[in-house]
Amino acid sequence: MNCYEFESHLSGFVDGDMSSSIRKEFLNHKSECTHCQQLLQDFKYTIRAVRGLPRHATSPDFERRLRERIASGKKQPWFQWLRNIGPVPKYIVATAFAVIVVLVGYQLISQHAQPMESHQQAVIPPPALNMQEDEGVPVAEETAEQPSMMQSDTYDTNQFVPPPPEHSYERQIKYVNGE
Amino acid sequence: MAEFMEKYTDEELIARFQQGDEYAFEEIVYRFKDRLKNFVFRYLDSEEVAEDVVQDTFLRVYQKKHMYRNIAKFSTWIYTIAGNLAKTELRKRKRRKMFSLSSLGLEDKEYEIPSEEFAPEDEIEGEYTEQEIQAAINNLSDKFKTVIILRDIQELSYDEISKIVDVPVGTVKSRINRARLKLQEKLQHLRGKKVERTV
Repeated sequence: MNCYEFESHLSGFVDGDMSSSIRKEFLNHKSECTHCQQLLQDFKYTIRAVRGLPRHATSPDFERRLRERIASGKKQPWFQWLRNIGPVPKYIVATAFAVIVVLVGYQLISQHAQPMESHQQAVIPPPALNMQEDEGVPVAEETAEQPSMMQSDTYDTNQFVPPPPEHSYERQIKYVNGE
Repeated sequence: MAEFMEKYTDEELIARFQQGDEYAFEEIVYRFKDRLKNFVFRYLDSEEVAEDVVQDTFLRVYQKKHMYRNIAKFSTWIYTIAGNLAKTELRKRKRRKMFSLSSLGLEDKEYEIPSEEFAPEDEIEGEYTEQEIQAAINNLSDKFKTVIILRDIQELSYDEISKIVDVPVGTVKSRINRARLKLQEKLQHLRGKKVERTV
């Protein structure tokens, strides 16, 4: 056993966690090497010093405080995780703020745009069909009898009479003509 | 405290607590509070914070009692919880320290650097003082600090330490050996400095 190996077995020797063959080699080296004799002595001394440190017990009101915390079911406030993070670099704060501004702005713009489109689609009634027979296809035109909602705020949706369920041209023409 | 609880093992106590026996929890607190306090105190070197961490540990045990499975020793489980909370606390303190130092001016920093002087009355003839040993422990890296506290202060077995720090027993053995050598080196270095100053 050399000095390096001796050093690596110091704890095993002190803790009694060593095979008999290694122990024999360890003791042989120790008897021959004054440097390692001193090393072992200092090593034991350090362990004794650490083991001799005074014990620090809990305060007398420890259990009372614990019972109170349990009884009150006290939980950390929801923002506690922010405190736990500790100080955050400024560039992270700035980036996070910029992202939030962009997201909120985008959300506001999209909310403002969407209701107009859906409102128009939902409320504007389908125009009455004036069939132009020569073309053979129904053409959507606004008639004088059914004013557009865009023209009047007082448009009564009850005025709108839905077309018949069957969409044959003949039936639609009859419907338009009041037959 | 219900005295009849003394006859139960730690594992039996947590089993009883899992079934709703609050006295069993009180006995667990009674058995572990000082051991955990000492462990966390040596790890963090702060009485007040150590006490808070131990309180949080028991609160976790109370709230998460059903997470304990009887495949490991209860002491291993509770030490793991306390160790994790202590590590989290240490990380927070390091961040705060970095922040407070970086926010100070150069002149202020001179006053913030801890003095290496020791009060003469703290020194015990021929032995290291508690402050010296604690300072040397504080200077160890987390992995060395944890194993040396668990082994030499808490007097846990290699096997228990292996489960708490979640590394093989062989690694624990070599880590403890290196931790003790480093501690010895730091203590001698500390002494060397003091001798140089006094000569």
